Order: sequence, then structure tokens, then C-alpha cells
Amino acid sequence: MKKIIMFPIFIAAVVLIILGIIWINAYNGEVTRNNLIEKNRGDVHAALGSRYDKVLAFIDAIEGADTTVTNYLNIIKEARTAFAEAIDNGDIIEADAEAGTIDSTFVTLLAYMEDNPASYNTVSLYAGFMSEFSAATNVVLNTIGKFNESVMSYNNHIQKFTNNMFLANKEPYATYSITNYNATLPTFN
Amino acid sequence: MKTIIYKWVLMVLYTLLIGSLLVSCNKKTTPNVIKSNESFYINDYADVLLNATLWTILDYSIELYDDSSVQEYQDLNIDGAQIVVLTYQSQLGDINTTEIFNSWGIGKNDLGLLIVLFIDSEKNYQELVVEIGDKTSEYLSAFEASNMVDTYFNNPDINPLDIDLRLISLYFAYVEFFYMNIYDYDSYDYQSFYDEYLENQYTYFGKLPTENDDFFYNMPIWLWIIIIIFLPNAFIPLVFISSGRGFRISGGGGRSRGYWFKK
Repeated sequence: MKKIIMFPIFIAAVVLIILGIIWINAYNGEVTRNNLIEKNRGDVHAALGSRYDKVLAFIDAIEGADTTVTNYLNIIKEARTAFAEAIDNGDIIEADAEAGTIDSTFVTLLAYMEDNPASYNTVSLYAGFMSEFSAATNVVLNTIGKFNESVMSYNNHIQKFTNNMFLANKEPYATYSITNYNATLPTFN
Repeated sequence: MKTIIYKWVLMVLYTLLIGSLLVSCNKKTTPNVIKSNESFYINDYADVLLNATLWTILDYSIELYDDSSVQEYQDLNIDGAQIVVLTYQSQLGDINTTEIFNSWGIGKNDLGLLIVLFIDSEKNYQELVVEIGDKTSEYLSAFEASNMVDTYFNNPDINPLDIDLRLISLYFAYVEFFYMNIYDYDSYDYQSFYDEYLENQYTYFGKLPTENDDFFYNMPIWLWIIIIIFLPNAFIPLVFISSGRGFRISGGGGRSRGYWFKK
């Protein structure tokens, strides 16, 4: 009689332990992956900030630019300031928006300068600058790639069975869009 | 009965051990990452460089690593600089130089530099990529590294078809940069090393250590399986002999964040 009572209790205990292990695994896995995303996002912003410092150095080297170029440069400078402020304030959405503005404007600027050589013929040592921008862009691409990998890992983790039973309230992250990043920036040669 | 079971268990365990060793030997790498050869510093996979060029890069890279590994630099965490050259018959997008840099671990303390020459199917030079290690980038910017490519690799005084001399010219410039700017040497005799190379450019100095025939390294998998089946007691000793053989240089664990440019 005693054995008959003990058996269901034993089964229930085993089931509870298994569920507990699954829950702990799902929860800890989510925390680990979330922290990795935060770290990788910080790396992306650090790489973007470093690249924009170089954009500013490039802008400083442009002399005698025409009105169109000057307008682009002003947009980039203002967005650069807004990006730095957004990072300081921890406003990720705003920072990403300003990053998009800087990069799209910068690529447009390079394309414009490529089409209008007279606008940039006063830029000294432009080949070196192009290599620097290219390298800085590659760093950003690399960090974005790592960020997106960590996002994919997080999203897979929270959506997989049985994790989805315990992490139903967790929202998947969106990957970084890299539409403004060419593998290599336009060259002037 | 117990003895038979015991033997079977031992055999299964032995098979599992051997299987795992074989699997680890044949571990597949990322498709766009290639393995370094045993010389490590010079990987002429496109087979376009002269023997003197290979030896020059190997010797001076070993010397740089040794010179930069003294206690003084260890105390400053700037020891173990490594400059590696790779030639590859392919196009830029076919291999990922950052993953190569990181999987090879070029440079201790992230003080590495990777020069990659892309060569076409006709053995003509196509383009060059310079990948700069994380800590190296604190000393050498892509801007400066690029200007050095213009000055030394694209030197108008060097025949554009003489890829060996162009490479050596650039290589010594980077070595000089490491000595002068990272390790604060007072001088580096770039010109005498360059002249010495010019004198010996077409001399054959013999095979590199890695070019020597390596029986164990080239041994086909089927031969390993036959050894396992017919000479199981010889398998483990052979694995140790083959893994501990000959000349082998490896990276210092350095990393790159993807700070590279092409010219």
C-alpha cells in the first residue's frame, strides 16, 4: 500500500525536477545570450563612433568644397554630434537612427565626389583616407556580423521547444541592417 | 563470461577513442578559412614567390618575434610581434582574411600583421590586403599602412612585375615600423637588408622546413585505418610521433577586429 502511494509521488518529483532543469536551462541561456547581445551592441556603437571620428578627420581635410558637398558635410557633422549624445544618454534607437543618417549621407557624399572630381581635388592624401575608412568600415561590418550572430542565437533559443514554454514573454531581437555598408567604400581611382 | 564482456567493453572504448582522434584530425574548418603551413610566417599557397623571398620572410619574422619577446617587452605586454605573409590564388571575397588572422592567432598581445597577395589563375598579382591586429592598430593606422603600400609596394623604381621585390620592399618597411615605433629601436638598417636580398634574390637556399616530405602528415586516412585494425598497439605511439615531429611555428593567439584594407 505504501509503495502504491510512493510511486506517483516519485514520478511527480522526477517530472518536477526535469521541468526545473529545463526552466533553469532556458532562463540562464536567455540571460547569457541577452548579455552577449548587449556587449556586441556596445562593440558596434564603439566601432561606429571610431569610424565617425575618422569621417570628421576626412571632413576637416576637405577644402574649397562646393555647396552640395558642404551641405552633406553639415548633415554628417550634426548627425555625428547627435549620435555621440544618444550614446551618452543610452538612447540606442536614436543612436542607430543617427548612425543610419551619417552612413547614408557619407556614402552619398563619396558617390557625389566620385562623380564630381573637381569637388575633392583639394583633398590631400585621399588614398590614405580611403584605406582608413575602408578599414574602419570593415571593423563595423565585423562587429555587426557578430551582433547579428548573437541575435540569431538568442532568437533561436527563445523560440525553440521547450524553451518557448518558459520564455513566451520574451521578444526576439531585430538584426542590424547593413544596407549602408558596402564591403568596400567607393574608390576615387 | 565476465572476461568476454570486459574485452568487448575495452574494444568499444578503444574504438571510440580512436574514432574521436581521427575525427579531430579531420576536423573541418570554416570554408573560407585556410590553415597555415608549418612555417607559419610565409604561406605561399599561390606558389609564386622565389625561394629567397620565402627564406627572407621566414628568417626576419622569426627574428622579429624573438627580438620582441624579451622580458622588457613582456613587462609592457607588447611582446611577441608576428608578421605573416600569405599568397592565395583566388579573389578577395573567396577567403575571409579576418577569420584567417584570428584562426591563425597572429601575434601575441594582438600585435600581428597579415599581408595577403591575391593571385589570378595566370599567376599574376591581382591585389593586396593588409589586415592589422587589434593592438597593432594602436600604433599602425590603416592610413599609414596604406601610405607604406604606396611608397614601398608600388614603388615606381621597382619593376611592377617583380612581385617578390615589391613584397620584400613592403615587408621590410613594416618590420622597420615595428622595431622603430612599437619597440622604440633607435635605428633599423632597412637598406642593408634590402640590398642583401637584392644580391641573393635568385639564389636557391634549399627547401623550407615545411617543404620537406612529411610521411605522417601526408599519410592517407585508409592507411591509418589499416594500422588501427591490424596494428592497434602501434596506433597511439604513431599518433604521438607524428604530432611531435619536426618544425612547427604557431601564432601567439592574436586577434583582429576586421581592421583591413585592400590596395
